[in-house]
Amino acid sequence: MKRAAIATLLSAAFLSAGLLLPAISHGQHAGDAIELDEAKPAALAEVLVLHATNDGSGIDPAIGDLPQLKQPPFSSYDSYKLLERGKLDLGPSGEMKLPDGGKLTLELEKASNDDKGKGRYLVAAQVLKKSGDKFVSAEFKTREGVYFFLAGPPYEKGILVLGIRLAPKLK
Amino acid sequence: VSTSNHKNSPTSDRDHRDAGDPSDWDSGDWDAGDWALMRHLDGELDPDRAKELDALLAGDETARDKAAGLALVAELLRERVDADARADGIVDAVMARLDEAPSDESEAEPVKAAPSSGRVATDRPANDNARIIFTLATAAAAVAAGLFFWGTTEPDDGVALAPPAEPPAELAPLPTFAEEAPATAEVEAEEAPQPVEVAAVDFGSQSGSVFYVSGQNAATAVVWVTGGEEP
Repeated sequence: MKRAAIATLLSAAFLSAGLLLPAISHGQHAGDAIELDEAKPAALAEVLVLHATNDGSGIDPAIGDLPQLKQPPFSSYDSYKLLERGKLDLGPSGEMKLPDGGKLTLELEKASNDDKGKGRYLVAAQVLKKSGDKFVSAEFKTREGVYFFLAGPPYEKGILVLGIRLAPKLK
Repeated sequence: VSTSNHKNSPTSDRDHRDAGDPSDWDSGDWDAGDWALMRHLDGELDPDRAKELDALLAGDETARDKAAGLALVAELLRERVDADARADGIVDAVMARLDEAPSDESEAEPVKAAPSSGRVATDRPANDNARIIFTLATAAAAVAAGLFFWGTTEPDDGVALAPPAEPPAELAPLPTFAEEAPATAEVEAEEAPQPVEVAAVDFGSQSGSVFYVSGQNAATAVVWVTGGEEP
C-alpha cells in the first residue's frame, strides 16, 4: 500500500507543479510595466556658441572636452573658438541672442525619466536669422548631459556651431 | 516452498525481510510478496531464492497476475522515460524511493506478524488487482505530468495510458507570448535609449545634412546646414 501512496503523492506533486507554473509565469509578465515620470516639462539648457574657421588656431581649450570637433563634419574646419557659454531655463521655452544678430530658441516639449532615472527630453530648436526669418529648425530626442549640435549660420569667415545639452532643473 | 526451507536458506536476513515469505502470497500479503516479485523481475535475488519464486509462480495464478502487472508498470515507465532525455534520472529516483519504502516498513514492524485472518481479509480490497491498476495509473500519470512540467513535448500518441500528456488548456497562452514578443521588441527599438537623435528637421531654403558622430561617452547628433547666406 505504501507503494501506491508514494505513487499517488508523486503524481499529485507533478500535476500541481505543472498547473501552477504557467500561472506564476503570467504573474511575472504582469509586473513588468515601467511607469514613466511625466513631470511638468522643465529643464536647464547649456549652449556653447562656437566659431568655426580655418585660421589654424586650433581648438579653444575653453571649450572643454569635445572630441567630436576632430571628426567629420566638424573636421571641415580646423579651428574652433568659444564665443559664449550660455544657460537657458526651459520652463518650457527659452531663447538667446547669437553673435550674428540672429536668435536661438529652445522649447521643451516633453520631459521624462528613463528606467535608470536619467532625464530624457524632446526639445525643439530653432535658429532665426537677424531678419527674423527661420534659418533652420529641428526636434531632438536627447538624454540629459549629451550634446547635440546645430551648425551652419555664416559668421565672419566661418560659421557658428551651437552645442546644446540639457539637464534636469532642480526644484 | 516451505517456510522452514526459506528461513534456512543462505541468503541474508535483510534479503528475507525484503523478499518476504512466499507463504505471504497465499495469505494475500501484497507488500512483501510484491517486493519479492519486483526484486525477482529486476534480477536482484540470489539464484536459490529466484528458483523458489519461479516455482511459486508456476503454481500460483494470482502471483503470476501480479508479476505481469508489475512487469507492465516497469516496462511502461522505462519506455516513456527512456524516450525523453530530459527525464534522465527520474525513474531511478522514483524507483529508489519505491525500493526504500517496503524496507523501511519491514524494519519498523515484522514482515508477517500473524497469519491471515478473516478480519485482515475484510480490510483488503476484494479484488487485489485493483491495487496494481491503481498503481499503474498513478505512476503513468506521474511520469506524464512530470514530463509536461519540465517542458513542452510533442504529444505521444503511442502511450495509451497517459491521457494527461494531451496538451492542457494551460498551454493556450503560449501563442499570446509569441505575439507579444515582437511588439515589445518594436517598442524597445522605438524607445531605444539612443543618447540623442533627430526627430525632425527643416532646413528651410538651405541644404543640409544630419550626422551622428561618436563621442567619448556617447554618440551625438549634428544638424549641419550648408549654403547659408550672410545675415
